[in-house]
Amino acid sequence: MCYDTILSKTKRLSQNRKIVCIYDDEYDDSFYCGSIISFDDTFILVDMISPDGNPDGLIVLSIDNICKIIERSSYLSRIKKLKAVDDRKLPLSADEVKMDGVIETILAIAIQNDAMVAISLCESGYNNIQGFVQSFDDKICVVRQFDLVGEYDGIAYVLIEKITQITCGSRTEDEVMTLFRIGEE
Amino acid sequence: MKKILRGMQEKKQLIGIYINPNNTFGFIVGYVMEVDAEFFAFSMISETGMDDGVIILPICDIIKIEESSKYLNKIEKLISCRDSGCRSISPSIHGLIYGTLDFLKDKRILTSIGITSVQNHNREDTTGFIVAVDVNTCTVQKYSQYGLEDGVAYFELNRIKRIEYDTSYEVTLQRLIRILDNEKRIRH
Repeated sequence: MCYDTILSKTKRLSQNRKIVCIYDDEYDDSFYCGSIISFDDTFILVDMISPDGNPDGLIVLSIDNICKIIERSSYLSRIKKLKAVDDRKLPLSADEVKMDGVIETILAIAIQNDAMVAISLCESGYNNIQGFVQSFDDKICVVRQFDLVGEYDGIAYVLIEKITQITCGSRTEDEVMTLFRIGEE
Repeated sequence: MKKILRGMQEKKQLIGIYINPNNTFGFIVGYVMEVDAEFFAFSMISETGMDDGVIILPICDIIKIEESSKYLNKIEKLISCRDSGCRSISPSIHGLIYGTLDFLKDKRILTSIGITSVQNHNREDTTGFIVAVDVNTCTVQKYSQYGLEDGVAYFELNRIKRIEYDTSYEVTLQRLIRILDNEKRIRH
């Protein structure tokens, strides 16, 4: 799928907040399910839904990597039905945050909601940083890092232009957050 | 990043620096020694808490800087039971690259010079002694990995992307060169 096609599709889908499946790796059948809530020239922000129809946080994806978007499928019909049964209010909302770019939007949401983020750098395909966003400007993002057992693991200063994916409030971050809270008690 | 590096230099804070986009989990540990407009000099510490030489890299290569992590705290404890510190560079008005090369020439310290960015880093860097340096160029008496003279290389300073000295590679090679020189002297 070419960049322009994705961008025009994104514009339409972000207006009607339709739930879709997004594939960002042509060699992998896995996908992200949710609605596109914001976009810029480089990234889209997706409000994710888990396979059981529950809110599953936010993710920033690179438009360049998107190879397929599915709007209608039996999986999506199932998710829509499950979501209708359990239509809880999203813990994270992008509506109140007015930022120029998608990366800045999700970082602001994370600060506002005191939510944990997982950041992937340079298309690594891994979570390079996990923790709470402390602050950010147009170049650098400062993160208080936590490891997988929920223990504090120092401060990271990250070059924003090297960020290629961010998730916020998804199941992985929730698990670390729970471990962190337990450790605090 | 320049501001953060300067802050770390002032605080003498042990940090981890991530510079390779092809290996986002790999990083170098140590202390910021000097920062100029484009480059920073970093005194590296090995995973056993020992001095591991100095590297000079472009600031724009930095992806992430880390402080006070569990790993860094561990290294800091290992460092606290060693004495030393590495050979420091005097800053020059002509920038970090010139200042460092001039210092390395005067002290006759074996140096590795790279003209490619860090993701292409391999041991095909030019290693040798700096025999002449001015604000535009430097001349290096090259040495092979076998400790033998291997011709002369000329560099334009503005093409240099990386300088390393006193790492285990240069220290070992310099020892080998000394041994070979002694053997030669005995033969004559």
